[in-house]
Amino acid sequence: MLFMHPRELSSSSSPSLVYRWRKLIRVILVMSSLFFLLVFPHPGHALSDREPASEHSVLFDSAGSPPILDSSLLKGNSFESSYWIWVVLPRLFPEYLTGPGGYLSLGFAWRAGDEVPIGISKIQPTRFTQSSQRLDCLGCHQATSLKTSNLIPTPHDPVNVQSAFTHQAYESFLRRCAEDPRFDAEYLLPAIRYSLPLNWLAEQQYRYSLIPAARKSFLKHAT
Amino acid sequence: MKYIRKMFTFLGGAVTAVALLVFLLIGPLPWNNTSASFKNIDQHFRYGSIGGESTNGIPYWIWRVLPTMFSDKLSAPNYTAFGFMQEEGQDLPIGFAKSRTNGIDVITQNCATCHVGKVRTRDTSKPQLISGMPGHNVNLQAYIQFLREVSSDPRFTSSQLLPYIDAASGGLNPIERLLYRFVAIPRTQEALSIQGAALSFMDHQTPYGPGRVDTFTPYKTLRFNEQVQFIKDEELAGIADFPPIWAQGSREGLQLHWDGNNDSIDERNKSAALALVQPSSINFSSIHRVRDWLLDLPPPAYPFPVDVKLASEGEAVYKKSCAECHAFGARKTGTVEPISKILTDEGRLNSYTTSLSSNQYSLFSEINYRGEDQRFTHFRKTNGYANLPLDGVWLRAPYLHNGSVPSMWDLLNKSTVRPAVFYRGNDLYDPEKLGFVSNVAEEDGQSYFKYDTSLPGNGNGGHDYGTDLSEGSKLALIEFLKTF
Repeated sequence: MLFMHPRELSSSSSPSLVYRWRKLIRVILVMSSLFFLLVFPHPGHALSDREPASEHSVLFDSAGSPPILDSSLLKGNSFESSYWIWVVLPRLFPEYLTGPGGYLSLGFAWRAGDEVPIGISKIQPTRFTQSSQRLDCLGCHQATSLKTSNLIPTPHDPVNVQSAFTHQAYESFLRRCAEDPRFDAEYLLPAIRYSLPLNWLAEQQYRYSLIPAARKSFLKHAT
Repeated sequence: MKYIRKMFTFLGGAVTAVALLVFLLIGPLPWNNTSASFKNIDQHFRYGSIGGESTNGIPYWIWRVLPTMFSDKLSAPNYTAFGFMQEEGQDLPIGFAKSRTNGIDVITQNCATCHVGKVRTRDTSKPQLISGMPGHNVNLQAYIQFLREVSSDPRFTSSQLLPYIDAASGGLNPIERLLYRFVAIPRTQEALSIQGAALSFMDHQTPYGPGRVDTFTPYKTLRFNEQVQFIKDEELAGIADFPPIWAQGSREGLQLHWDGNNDSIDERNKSAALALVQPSSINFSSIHRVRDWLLDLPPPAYPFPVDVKLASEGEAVYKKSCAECHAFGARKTGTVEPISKILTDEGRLNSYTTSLSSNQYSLFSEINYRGEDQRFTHFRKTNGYANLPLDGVWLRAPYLHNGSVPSMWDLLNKSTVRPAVFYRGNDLYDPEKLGFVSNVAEEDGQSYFKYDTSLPGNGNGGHDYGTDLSEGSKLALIEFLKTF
């Protein structure tokens, strides 16, 4: 009946009423499609987990990331989420960290000038998706070498060396944040808005899609 | 049935009409936003907006009546009580901008808050206001403390503020009145309270006094929510002098900030602006307009007579004793002198931490301006203080990063004979010692700030270079420095 021309309908139905209903349904379908297209994220293109490092790093050869560090192996345990949700968590839930210093308190090593610590990969935003982050293999396979108390700890050996980072502490922090009733748009969005101008559409993405997805990701392996 | 249909039609029409009226009255508000801007660049520097209207602005009429309503907390019923400078014919003191956001005027601050100063050459002369100079007479902490106190004062309510606002404004229009009553006043009180709580560490710090501020602890607690109870005492003694910001072009590539933690002028500028704006609300075009002007802004020439012969003798002393670290283009100028060598107070150095830098590396991420990524990448933790060029040095007293040495003459003496206590905030210049008058506690009803070098972060030791020169050489050197 939806696809019948109004003239083909029986005389007991009002042709103009049916025509209006069909038009309304078409509008709803188009708007819904646009909403899902724009609000819900698509899997963005994944960059290599870390750009080729400077001469200070021993983690990469000249060709870039070696295959053994491809974080797709970690997909299930990578605590993937919106990047900006991840950024604000230590600021909003410092009581769940093991000490002062944000993510550094969890033992991450951080190369000076880098946006994220060693062990975290940031996936850049696209036209329709927000940026995201995930734990990569270097999260566990890193070591820190604290040269002086004034320098950011520097990694010098990624494999088989005891590291300050523990997966359990990181997982515990994310889980406790996600379990906190304040892990919602009302509490997270103002902190995100400090760093990034958000339009109305982006705010709806966070509210209805990215924050629930982050909660799900952080609680995935909760016991 | 006919009548019910007519009733529903009438109701629907009435609801639509009311919604349309509300939309027409309130809807345009966001489209009338303005950001204070002036054609004359010096005026723009002093009164223009660098952003922050929607995030950091205080509604104009609230800000305007606070000194009157809470005059019991001030020495004068206006903002000059904090050392802010009021020019004739201007509504606002220097360093404040008035813009419009979401239907109301708001006050924000700009670079001139800390980087316009004043100087008198004689007792009787009118102070000269100089853009780019350290605001050595501005007591920023006192202003911040005032805002903290009023936000927790039970008088800070709509019912008590609105009569003062009515008296000052001549009466708000109905829309503004509603906005002030139900939105502006409650939200301002809430925002100032939250800010005040985050700044509670100030209650346990050495008083800043005029011309100084703790650069980084507010950053840590306000922006990154570092818990005050976990901030070490050694990090809380980092109160530093406002620096001059003229001639920035000659500083590109030098390690900037007192501890040399950043070698990018643009990044340093944005970092300083974050005391007043947020990455999401900064006005890039305004900041860059100011930046471009400051690249070539020259320091003011020394206004007193100079003994040219003595100065030329002093040039030789300067080349031997100072130039290696302080002359433009010299080997060590703009590099960090390790604390183990320079031996000045460690408070400022300790206040900047690797933890803070890790948070800074996400600032301005995913924000572009003129096609350039604005993310912070240059901050580094250092192990000392930067050797600075000395252009306009006559106007940069008191000296050292914490302003603990009142004059150049005192700096050229051993720390054991430098004044242990002196007074800051006087704008009368002492041409003999090369600094501001610092031995007067009170004058014409105005009290100056007592600076005690024994307090944490106020130490006046270190930088013993030149202290072994003869008195004649010191005088010659000072004469030469007047020509900078």
